[in-house]
Amino acid sequence: MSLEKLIQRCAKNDQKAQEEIYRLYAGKLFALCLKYSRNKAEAEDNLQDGFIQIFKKVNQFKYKGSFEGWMKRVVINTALQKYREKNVLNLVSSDVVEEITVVEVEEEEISLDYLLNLIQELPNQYRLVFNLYVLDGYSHKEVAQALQISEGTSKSNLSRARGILKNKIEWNQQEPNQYKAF
Amino acid sequence: MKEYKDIDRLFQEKFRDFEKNPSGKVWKNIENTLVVKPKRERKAVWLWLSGVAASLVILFFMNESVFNTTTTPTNTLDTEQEFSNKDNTTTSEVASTQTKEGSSQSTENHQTKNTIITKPIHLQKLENTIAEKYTTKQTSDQKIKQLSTLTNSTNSTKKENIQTPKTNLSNTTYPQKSNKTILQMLSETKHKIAQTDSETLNKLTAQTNSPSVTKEHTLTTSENLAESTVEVEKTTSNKKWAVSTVVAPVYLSAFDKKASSIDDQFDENVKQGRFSAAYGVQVAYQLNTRFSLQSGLHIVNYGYKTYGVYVSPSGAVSRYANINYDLDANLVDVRAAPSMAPLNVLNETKIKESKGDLTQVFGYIEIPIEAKYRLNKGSLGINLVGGFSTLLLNKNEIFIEMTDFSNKLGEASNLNSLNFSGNLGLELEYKLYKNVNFNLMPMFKAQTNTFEKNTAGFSPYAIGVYSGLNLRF
Repeated sequence: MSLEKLIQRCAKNDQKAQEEIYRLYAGKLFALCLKYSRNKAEAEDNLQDGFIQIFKKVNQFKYKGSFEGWMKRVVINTALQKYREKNVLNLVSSDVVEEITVVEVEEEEISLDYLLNLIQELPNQYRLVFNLYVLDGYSHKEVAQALQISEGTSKSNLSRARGILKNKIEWNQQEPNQYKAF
Repeated sequence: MKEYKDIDRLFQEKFRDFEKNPSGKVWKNIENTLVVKPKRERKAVWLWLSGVAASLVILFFMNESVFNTTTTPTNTLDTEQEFSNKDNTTTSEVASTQTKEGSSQSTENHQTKNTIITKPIHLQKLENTIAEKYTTKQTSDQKIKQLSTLTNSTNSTKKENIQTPKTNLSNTTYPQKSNKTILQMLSETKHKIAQTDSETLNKLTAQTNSPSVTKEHTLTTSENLAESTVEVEKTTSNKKWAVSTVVAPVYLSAFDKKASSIDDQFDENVKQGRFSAAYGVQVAYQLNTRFSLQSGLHIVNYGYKTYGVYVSPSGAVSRYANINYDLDANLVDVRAAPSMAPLNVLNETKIKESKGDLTQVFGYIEIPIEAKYRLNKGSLGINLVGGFSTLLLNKNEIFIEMTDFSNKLGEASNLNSLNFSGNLGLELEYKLYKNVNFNLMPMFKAQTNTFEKNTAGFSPYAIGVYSGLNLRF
């Protein structure tokens, strides 16, 4: 069955179509949730709420752009909304921070799970800004809008996030086993 | 080998194709949240056809209530515009004899007719409809006045343009049409209106500097239709049916425990209901996430016992008006107490009285119509159920029962063949499998009109615990 047909059936609350959509995209969207969450449990919560929102709002999908992209935005918004509701996005600072762009690594030794763990350990706002800007291609203007912060704060948070990541990666180089620990 | 790497790039490359499957519980939770379960009912194979009939009744009811509700804006709109056309045509047709119409309407009628000439088939339809619905003319006149006011605010050139879209509209909108075609009609109408609006607005813009009223009218038309379309589709998408079998132990009792439906002579006797069974099939229709309607067909037999009556195998009978005796029932004499049997005194030789119980059995074919309200979410659903049942008497017997003797006396003469009950219950619904649920529903049913004269204040109620499996589709 074509994706368009599946979407149309989802819009009619067809349970089988919903399950099929879930089966097709759960892997990618769960990966997305893992990046935006602090741990697996929180990621599963976000995935669950994200899919519920997707199925509720699927009528609003206008076939402009990919369905996957639209779903990702819904899931991200759902995750961000939780942080907004909990009022935890208060790590606000627009201090000018030294721009860090490179890190010395032995890339082959670094596992994805290790990097994921580093992201999850970041303070909430740093993690969200880093994800939105670096991994999901949002501009600082869009990040600022999504997190209800200023663009300067977004840039500052991104630099701090990079700094933390760089330090951890470089520090762990002294103990290479850390790379494979996850 | 160590190298300097851009941090962003390091992460981007690693996470580019990152996928990970969540645990199975995530989908289960999502499913439980999204799926709202309709249903519940009972069993009996030969009742299947009756169940289908009941479901058709519900379907009819659905069409009348649900779809009418959601399409009201569209119908109103269509009707208004249809009326304007019909009425215009009417006035044109009877212009020679009916002179009530104002001059401005006459002008409009003329213009409308000119437009309709290009659509002779449609004109015929309208004329036929008018002949049948001439009684709606008064209402139509009011509509025409409103439209006249509207159109008078623009100049006469604009009027001609305004009539065009209305006529086109009526080509595709018939208020009396079956609801089944509403979606299709809306779709076509919306499309046509969009075209017509565009043309009309272009003309108006070219011909006048103040077409705002007309624009507003036509734009509102298409907007309303768009909203209606969305609403109708939304409602349709929520449609869920469930069919189920149910069985229940039921217990009949009475609000006034003293009252006897047979004779007030037995008021002092201990009386008690008897456990019996009810079974049947039900169909349910889910209106939305919270509400469902259900109906079905049940067979139920109630039993009610009067204990400690005195029975003598005498031919000297004291008859009770509320019993139609069988032919062989004259062999026993039933009394509430020996002291109340003066005939025995005259007939001392056969005062062999035994104590026994008087059992009344009455069975019904029950057709419940109930609304169900979902109180919670999750796999164990709790529903509040309320409604009423129509009860058709199909079994009516009165027995006398003793330890070694049982005989049917006859049947109650005061039972109504048709009565009703008010139903209230709480349903627990547990999902066993994808579309299969187990239901458990304690229910209270208060009967009314059970007996012809509400015999001696005997007013029964029934308590049952209905359980069964339902299948959603």
